[in-house]
Amino acid sequence: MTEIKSWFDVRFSRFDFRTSTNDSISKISSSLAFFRIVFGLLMLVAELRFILKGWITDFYVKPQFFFTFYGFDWIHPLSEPYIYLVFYGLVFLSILITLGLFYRIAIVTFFILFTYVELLDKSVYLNHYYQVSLLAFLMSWLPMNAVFSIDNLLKNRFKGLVSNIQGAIWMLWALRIQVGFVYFFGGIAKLKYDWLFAAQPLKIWLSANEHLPIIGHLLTEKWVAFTLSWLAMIFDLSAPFLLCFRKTRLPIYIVIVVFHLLTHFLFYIGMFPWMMIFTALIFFPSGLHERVLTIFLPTQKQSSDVYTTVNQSVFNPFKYGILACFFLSQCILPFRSYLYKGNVLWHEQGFRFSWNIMLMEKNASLEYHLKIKKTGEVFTVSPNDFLTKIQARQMSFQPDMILQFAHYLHQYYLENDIGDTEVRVECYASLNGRGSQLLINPNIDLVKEKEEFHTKTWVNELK
Amino acid sequence: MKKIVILIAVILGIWACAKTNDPVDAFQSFDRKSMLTNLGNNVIIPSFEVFYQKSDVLDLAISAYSDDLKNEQKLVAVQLAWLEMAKAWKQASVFKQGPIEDKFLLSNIDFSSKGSYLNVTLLEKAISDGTTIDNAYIETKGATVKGIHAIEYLIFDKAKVNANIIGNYTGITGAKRISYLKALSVNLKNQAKIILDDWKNGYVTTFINADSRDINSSLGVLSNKLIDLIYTVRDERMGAPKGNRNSGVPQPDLAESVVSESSILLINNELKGIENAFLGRTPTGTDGIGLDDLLDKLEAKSGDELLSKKIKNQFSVVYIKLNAIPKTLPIAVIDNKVEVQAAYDEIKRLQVMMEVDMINNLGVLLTFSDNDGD
Repeated sequence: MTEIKSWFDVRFSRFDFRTSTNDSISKISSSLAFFRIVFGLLMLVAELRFILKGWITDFYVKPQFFFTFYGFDWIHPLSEPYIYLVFYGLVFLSILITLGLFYRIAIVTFFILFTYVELLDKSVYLNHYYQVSLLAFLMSWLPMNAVFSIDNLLKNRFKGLVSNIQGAIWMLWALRIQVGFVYFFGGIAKLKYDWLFAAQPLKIWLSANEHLPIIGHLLTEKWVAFTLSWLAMIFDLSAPFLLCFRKTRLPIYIVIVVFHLLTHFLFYIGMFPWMMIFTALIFFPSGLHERVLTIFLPTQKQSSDVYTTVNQSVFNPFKYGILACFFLSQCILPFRSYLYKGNVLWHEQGFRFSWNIMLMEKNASLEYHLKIKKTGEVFTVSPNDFLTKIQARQMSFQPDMILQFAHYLHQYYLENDIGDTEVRVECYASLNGRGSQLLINPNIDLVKEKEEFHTKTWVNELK
Repeated sequence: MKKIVILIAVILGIWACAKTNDPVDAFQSFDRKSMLTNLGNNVIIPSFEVFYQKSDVLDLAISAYSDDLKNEQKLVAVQLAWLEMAKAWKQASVFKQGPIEDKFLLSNIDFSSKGSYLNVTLLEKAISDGTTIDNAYIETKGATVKGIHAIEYLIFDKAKVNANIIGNYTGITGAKRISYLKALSVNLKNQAKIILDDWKNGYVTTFINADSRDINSSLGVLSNKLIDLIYTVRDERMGAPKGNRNSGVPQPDLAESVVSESSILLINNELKGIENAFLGRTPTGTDGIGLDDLLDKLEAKSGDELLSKKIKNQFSVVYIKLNAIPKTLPIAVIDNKVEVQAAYDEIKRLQVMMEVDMINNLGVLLTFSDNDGD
């Protein structure tokens, strides 16, 4: 054990903030290439998994209505078979990114296509998809194909494949910050009453895993839920910092692996644990990245002439400005929910894009009551007749989606000669073990309400 | 740093341990698997056993009547046997997971689609078209001309005049008609036997072993079935005749079992099946480990009250309101709108308690496909 530790220590200690020699530049380029390959492979698996599970049809072909994001209602899913081509395209682009072939075009196109898909329907919103979009955007600005790439092999034949901007230390830190944000803001988001003082939703979820061998019985214990809640909060808040220091890096990385494996076995969270386990490797020193790459790709070492033209000093204010805004906005976005009164898990204003990961067990029963203005007739609509089950379930407890669908129903009956209607909802929701209560004011005609950043006064307060 | 983490963990551990001395410790001795074991062995299998027995009694009664077609007493015995069978079926009908779904048996027993339970025209045609009318003939026929509602149609008279029924069996097409009735009853008994045998010989083990929390887990599927059935009771059994699909104008013909005037009786028994599953109660009324105990173990509350208690009380309220409807459902939806609406509203409240409060505490996954959620 101590041998392994000293081996790591020696290797990891090579990383040093101050170096800017050609040697370290070459190593930074290796780190960028390492991250590129890891990201490419993760995305390849993720997209193949998505396709094989039949989710393209389930999520983007079957629905007759899509919950677009505020301000992005001009984005629509392509019809069959083109929507499939988008996903095949994403698979192909993941391969190009992994190989480092036509990297710049590949990563920019990947970012656009992936983000396009994510903007199609709110009911499929996931925090780790958001992280993929952010990483892809960031990677679009970085020269991650300088080494260990086919671009590098072809660069003498095709000019411009590999840019003459070299790997710089800030680039590594940009990626590290982006990975660290998930933990840090994920930790901030856990600083809520339910998580810390009710151990919810962990109490519910852990108990539901009673069937697991050995630990199953423990999972129903209250103290286990409390301990894990607090440890997860402390872990999230401290992990990105502990990853930065040589002494704490390996121990916390082991914790990261154990933590994410645990979440993988206990919860159904797909690719997320794997993404975090592998992307967090960027915190390790460049020397290690280079070593690993050399083991797998021994003939792929870069030729020394890559670094004959060191172009690092070229200052591109446009690029730095964009990246500064990119990170700044991410620091602000998670806090926007504090502008609204009440519990964000209940009203969900400012909930998305804020790293509210695994914070709630919430479900609801939702029905729409429509009144035809002309005749005064009242009838009830069950969303299941219009939406897929996943959409109906996701909508049932998310106020902004409930409003969108109210407007859709209003429009639907206008176009189908029923006429102008008033649309009200009866929505009983339950959050983190609380008894059910009305989420939306049932007396309000939602047709008159607009989606906006102002407080949604038609959402009831959580009692 | 590590020391701080350990310190905090220890403090938390002690603090949390100190808080676990609560009155529900008595329930800690069971797990979800023992609940499934009780439900499988003591609730579900016995429910299908009763259904099979009652379908057998019905078959015997029909045989007896078929030998003595003019005997009204024997016809009345058939009618009573049908009611008992239908009650038993409705109590078992919530347990659709396993054999019923895997072998698509539901439509052979209890077809319904948007308030339609039977196609009388097709049924009469199936009788008059038949040459050799036996179980094999029934097997070739569609869902709208067989099952409990087809039998009901052939043994009850809307005007409650048994002579009319006897007249049908003793008339020109009487021979075909009684053969069809006998074949229907044999076919129904066969379905009951298949379900019972499948549950006994293997499926119950599958049921007990699927004790995780995913979408295919027994608890997840069962929860879905409970909610689906409450929804069906509210929306199809009561809502449709009440006029929910017709801008509030009643459609009494959409009630179930209009001809035997047993709509409300069958609703009661469907709810009783749900209640049995919730309580872990056998068809004979012996209470065992059920969802109520699991909720107590999880300390699920609604306000200050235990959620299990609240749901139990709600079942009682629903029965009271249902039985307060003074006339048969098809008449009551016109004459007793207040009472029908009151029962409907209480069923809705029960639905919310189970669909929202109960599910929230169980932490089972209910969406149809695997999800990538975080």
